[in-house]
Amino acid sequence: MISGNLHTYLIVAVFLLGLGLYGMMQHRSLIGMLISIELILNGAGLNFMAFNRFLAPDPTTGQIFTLFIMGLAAAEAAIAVSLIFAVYRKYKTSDPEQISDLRG
Amino acid sequence: MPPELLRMIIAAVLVVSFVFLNAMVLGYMERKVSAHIQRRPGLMEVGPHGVLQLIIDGLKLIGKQLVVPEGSNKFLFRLAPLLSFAPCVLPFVVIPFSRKLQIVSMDVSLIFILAMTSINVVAILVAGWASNNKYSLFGTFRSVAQAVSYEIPMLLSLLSIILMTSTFSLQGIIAAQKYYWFILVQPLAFIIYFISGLAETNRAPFDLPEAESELTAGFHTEYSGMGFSFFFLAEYANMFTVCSIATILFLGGWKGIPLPLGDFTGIVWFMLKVYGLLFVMIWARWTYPRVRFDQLMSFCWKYLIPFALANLLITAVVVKLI
Amino acid sequence: MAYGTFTEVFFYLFVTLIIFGALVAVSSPILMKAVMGLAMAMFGVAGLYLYLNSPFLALMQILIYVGAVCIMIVFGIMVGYTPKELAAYAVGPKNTVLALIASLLTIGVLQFGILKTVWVQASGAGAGDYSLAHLGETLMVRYGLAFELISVVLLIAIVGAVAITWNGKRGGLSK
Repeated sequence: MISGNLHTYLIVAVFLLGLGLYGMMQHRSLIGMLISIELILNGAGLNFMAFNRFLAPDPTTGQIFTLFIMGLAAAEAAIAVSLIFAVYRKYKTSDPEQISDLRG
Repeated sequence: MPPELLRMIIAAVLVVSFVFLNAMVLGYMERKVSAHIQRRPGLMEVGPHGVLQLIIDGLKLIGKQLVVPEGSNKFLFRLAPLLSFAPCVLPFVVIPFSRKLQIVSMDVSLIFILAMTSINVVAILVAGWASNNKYSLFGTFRSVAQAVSYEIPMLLSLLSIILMTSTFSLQGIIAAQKYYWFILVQPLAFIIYFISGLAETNRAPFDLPEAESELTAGFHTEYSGMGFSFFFLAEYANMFTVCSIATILFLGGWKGIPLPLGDFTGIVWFMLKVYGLLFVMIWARWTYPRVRFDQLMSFCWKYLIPFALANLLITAVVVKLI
Repeated sequence: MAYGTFTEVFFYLFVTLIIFGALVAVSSPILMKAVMGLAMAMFGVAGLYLYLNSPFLALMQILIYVGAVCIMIVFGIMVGYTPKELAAYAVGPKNTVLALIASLLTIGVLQFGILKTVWVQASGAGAGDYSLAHLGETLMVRYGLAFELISVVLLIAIVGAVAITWNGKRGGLSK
């Protein structure tokens, strides 16, 4: 029975992590990188919940941790989106290759 | 066939047919009530006093051709009405219509209904973006900004009630109203919730995203036939859900004076209360002028949210210290 | 929750949703499709949380991630990008092979580690109190400081987000 097995959830979480990593390297736009970061955070949350269900003595610890991950992911996405607004307003483009003031 | 599966199939059929029936009754009620408020007779043609009008409208909408615009994403365009219909139908699974008439009783029923409300916003976004139409996009932005902003006072006013009952399950909240209805102790929360509910379902006076004179029809401009009727059904189902949550949390749900109908008195009282609140919603549409978008936003952020927070604070102090 | 073949089918459905959604999210050059893929993956993860005995977390996942974070990202796309730029963000082939190798290597090494480790169960695992009341009590009593800190963090995030995009005018934001 696959859904009662710890390894299933860990493999899915690692899959999310790997895809998020791939996405960070693939997407050339800042929003694409933000989407990949959210995937990685979801994978981490799934990891915590899986350990919470199968290995933890008190099952509320993992749930609270995952709630905190969700809250922090939301805060980070808010700040990232507002940074993207500000950058777009200054540079009039969103290509990470062209947003640079330092020479060399 | 295992009994659980049979029960689920029966429940699904009942829920979907209730949604369609509700849309018909509510549509007729809206047109008749608006007509009488505006001192005209209203629907009179089809059937006695126009009672069959909505059935004929439904048949007409089924027969229309679903036109897909040229440069849009065809898959997302066709998916959007279904994406909007599903989270408006699911709350009916957890709403208690009577003491025993509840399809699924969850410990977290109220959060389930609130989560479905926030999925609705994603469906609006997909519909607006997939239409490839500038006016749809403007309507979508306004609709999403409005829905997301007014979710906050809605959640805060419901939290004041949850502080008093300390359970999220809807039957538990109704059971906690044994001696008095919660509207007597939380009138401000009821008013804030009702106003936010009006804004969440894009009803007047907050119906700027659907303003016919300004934006053609907002995010469902490009939809015709069954696509439009899905949005229509979703909006009426959403109205019913908002009013039934208001009934359950503030007006005592299915509790009422016992009538000689056995266990069915619960559903009679519940429907009376919910349709009473729906009548107030329709009445409000023709009483107040439409608010402008910046007035809408400032009303939410500068007035409703501080009042809701103050209400929550006072409730917390009273519940914990008295 | 009694596990049977019926619930197993839905488990496979949720895992498929996650995999498909994540693939769409990372490989689609159109950013709106990528966000829809992300929303799909988050629905799948919410479904998996149901199998891990916490319906509250599943609903919170839907409320917070799908209902707020995805919409914020969509607003970021719509307001910060012109349609011409949205079409121009194609993924280059030079990076693809290297990125593929790097991520597959990460997945492989971690999966090897997962399958090799003997996971030690703490005493009394899997049979604790999953009720919402216990969760609330633990959050307030044992992790009260963390709870207060995260509310401060969220407040600072909101204030910071407004401060970054403020352009000094009395009327508020401008593009």
